[in-house]
Amino acid sequence: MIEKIQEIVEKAGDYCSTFPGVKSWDIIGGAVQSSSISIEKGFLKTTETSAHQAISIRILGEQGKTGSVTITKMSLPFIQTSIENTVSLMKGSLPNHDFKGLAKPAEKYPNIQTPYDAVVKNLSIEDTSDIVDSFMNIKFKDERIVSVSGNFSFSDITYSLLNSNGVNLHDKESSISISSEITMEDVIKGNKENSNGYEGQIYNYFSEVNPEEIFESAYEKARMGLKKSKISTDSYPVILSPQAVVLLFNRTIAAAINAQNIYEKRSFMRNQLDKKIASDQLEIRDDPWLKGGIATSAWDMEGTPTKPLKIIEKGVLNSYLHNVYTGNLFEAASTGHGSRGLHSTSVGISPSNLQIMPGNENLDAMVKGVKKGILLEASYDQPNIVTGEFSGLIASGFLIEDGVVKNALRESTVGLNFFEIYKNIAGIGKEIYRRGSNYVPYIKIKDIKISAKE
Amino acid sequence: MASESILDLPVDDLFQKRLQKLQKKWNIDYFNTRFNVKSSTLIHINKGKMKENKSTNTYGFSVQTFVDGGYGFASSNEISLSELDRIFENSAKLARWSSTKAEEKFRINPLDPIKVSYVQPQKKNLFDVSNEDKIQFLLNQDKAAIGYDSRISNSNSYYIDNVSHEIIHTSDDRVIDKTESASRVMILINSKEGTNLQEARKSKGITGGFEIVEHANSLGLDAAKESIENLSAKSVKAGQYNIIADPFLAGTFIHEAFGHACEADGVLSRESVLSDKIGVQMGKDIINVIDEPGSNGDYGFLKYDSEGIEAKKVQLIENGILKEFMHSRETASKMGLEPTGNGRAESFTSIPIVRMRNTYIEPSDWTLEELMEDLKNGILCVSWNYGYTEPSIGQFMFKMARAWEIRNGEKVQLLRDAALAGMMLDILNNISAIGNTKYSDDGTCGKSYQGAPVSSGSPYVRINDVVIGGQ
Repeated sequence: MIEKIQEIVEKAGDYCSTFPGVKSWDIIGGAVQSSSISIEKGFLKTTETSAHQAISIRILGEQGKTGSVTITKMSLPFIQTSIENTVSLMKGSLPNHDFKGLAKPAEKYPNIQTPYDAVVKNLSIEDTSDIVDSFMNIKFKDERIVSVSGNFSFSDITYSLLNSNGVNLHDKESSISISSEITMEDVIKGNKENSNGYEGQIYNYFSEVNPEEIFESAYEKARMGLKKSKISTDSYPVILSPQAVVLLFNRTIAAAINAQNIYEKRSFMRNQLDKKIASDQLEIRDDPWLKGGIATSAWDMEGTPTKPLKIIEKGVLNSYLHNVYTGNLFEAASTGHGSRGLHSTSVGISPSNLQIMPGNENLDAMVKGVKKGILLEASYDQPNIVTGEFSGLIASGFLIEDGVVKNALRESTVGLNFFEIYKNIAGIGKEIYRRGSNYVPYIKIKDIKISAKE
Repeated sequence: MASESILDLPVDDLFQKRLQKLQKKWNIDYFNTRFNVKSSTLIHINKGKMKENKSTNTYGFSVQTFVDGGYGFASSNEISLSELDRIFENSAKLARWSSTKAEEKFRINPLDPIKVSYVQPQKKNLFDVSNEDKIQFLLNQDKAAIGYDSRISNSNSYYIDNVSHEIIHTSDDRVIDKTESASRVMILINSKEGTNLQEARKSKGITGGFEIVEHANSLGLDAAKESIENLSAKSVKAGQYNIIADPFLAGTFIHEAFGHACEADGVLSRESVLSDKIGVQMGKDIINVIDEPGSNGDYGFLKYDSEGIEAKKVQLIENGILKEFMHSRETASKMGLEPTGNGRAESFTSIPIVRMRNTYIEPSDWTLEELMEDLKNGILCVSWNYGYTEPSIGQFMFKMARAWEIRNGEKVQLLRDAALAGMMLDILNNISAIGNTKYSDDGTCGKSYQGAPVSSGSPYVRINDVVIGGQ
């Protein structure tokens, strides 16, 4: 089937070139083989397997007119008819003079291997029985556990990326993900208390999967959340966990320096290039060449070669993230951050392995230095990239008193301005933790406003 | 959009006969197969420029099987008898393997056979409308927004439609051949004054056809007006307030915080704070909450769910008392009840799970003026941008689109970046008055990585002692 997809993609490209008025085209096509299980109440709930193909074609005409199509029926006559319809779509489209062209093939792509584990391709759900069993055994760990749910999935992706400029790339990816959510219940001082703990991780290699680590982390978060305290509304020093750092630093900054958001005046990082936006201590890098990195790749999903990028150095913003389209808008080159999936004809912008460089603080020392403050584990809120402000519920956070982490916070919210917290960094941890393709330490902020129900 | 013939499915009586044979061959308790073809349009205009002008055609089928409480699911892009044999075998083997690790040996309760063909009515058939007309409609919205005020700095306008043809076969000889269609317009407008950047979003979705234009023709202008108004908004001071939630925020609360906790899959897995609360008083007897199939045109409208069950009305709260949960075939079988038609799947590649349709608080007897006068001082919370909930503990948070500070029963200051947060059971208990007119909003609800079109609604609702997050 893989060879067939590659052949279909190439034939589709040839067919696109036969239409007068088509200035350029690009195609991504591939096959995904995936399996997953879900756990509910500590037992196996569902098992699922699928093998799918998709081909997405973008056609560009005069004046940047565009038409595109995604198809999952792998029949050449059907694809040819779809291309004919897409050419008609393109002709009836509005102009977009900002479309200046597609990625050009590199003379030489960096010699970087996308992490790929052939084991995953041949793995069946039945082969993962041990992992399912270990999921099912969590409930025996503590009688206060009332529910264990989770997912385990793995997939093998093969794709081809072609365009009318001569980009002709083929690659394979493997991915494994595991997540667990544990709910606990206890009677504390006569009141029934519930608490949730969640942990998840993704991997490229099956041998790296460590279910026990995931379960233990979810369990600890649930256990620690059972005893709850109220806190009065005020500003407190806050230590951000790796999960909170990913939310408030990595995801926020990646979205805020996305050149499309900058161009559309939808980012608080607009006009901040080459300016000091953070404490001297903050260094952020994007490294698509990171050995063993979860998002390591020699090219992006437009065919632009990748390269490491120092995004923030000594608190100064050095670069936005570009794909080919925004590179043209800014009269700059693509930084190799074009992103899309098999079903996508529009190209987004995403970081690869996004790293916050380690500081020299020890977590214990960071906690010991707090007389009264907060350890913020998680909020499920989304930052407002436009205004640069964040306010949301503390989904998981703990009171720190006299240098000791104590009870979970009850019904508390956090409100902050991103520039303020980036400038108010009081310390950066020396240990780095991986969360997906983010590599982050604990970070201590001098003070953040915390509100709570009286 | 391509011609209507693209919706043809090569599924004839031979497939049904083959399915019966496969059930016997693999000794399956229950199966549900869904053959599907779907044609979609996506148009994205950014400040007058075309960003995306796309059609999508997906095609394939899935087989869901149950054996002794074990659950298997497999899907493919290719529709043929030989592929049906292969995918059925994959699904059946997984179900049998799963049964050794399943919690209980339950069976899906059989229902009476039916054979139904259903085509959702469209006033303006999506296949009869040219792509150019769809582009022009969206461009008009985009232009109206950009031209409203020089402080409008950006626009992103989206038009989406889809027509889906699905044939469902179940092991109890229920055959549903349904064609459904929907369209949606979303407008995101940014405004800028000095360093002050604000945004506003408006959307409208319907089931049906291109008659969306009748419902969404002022969307661009509405979003632009709101975005400009937001430039004068001040950050809300975090704290505890008495509030009035507008119908869109109250509808979101009842969907996200309460509705999800009434989905029977979460109830059975004890991941709902309401698991043991049927018959318990949730709040004052003025509170009545419904999830229902709705009417054609409602974005959450559903005639038959993804398991071939006719959608039924579910009375979640009656006079303040928790009455019923929403069910799929599986949850209904486990609890010895009738399925309610809430088993929905995002696509043929997704497993049907318990989802809401049109969920709302029923009106009572207060006018908005009476609510404001009675509130005296507090916050009028308006609509929402996003939200989430933890059904297992009942905790939730919704980020408001905007809010008004109320003093002496009057609006005095527009507020931004406000968040409504709390425990769902406390909030239900603190609802002290309900307005007399219901309004509904539409959206895409996410659960287990699947999206489902839903509507949610409410009248204006007064809630006492609420934590509002802000600066």
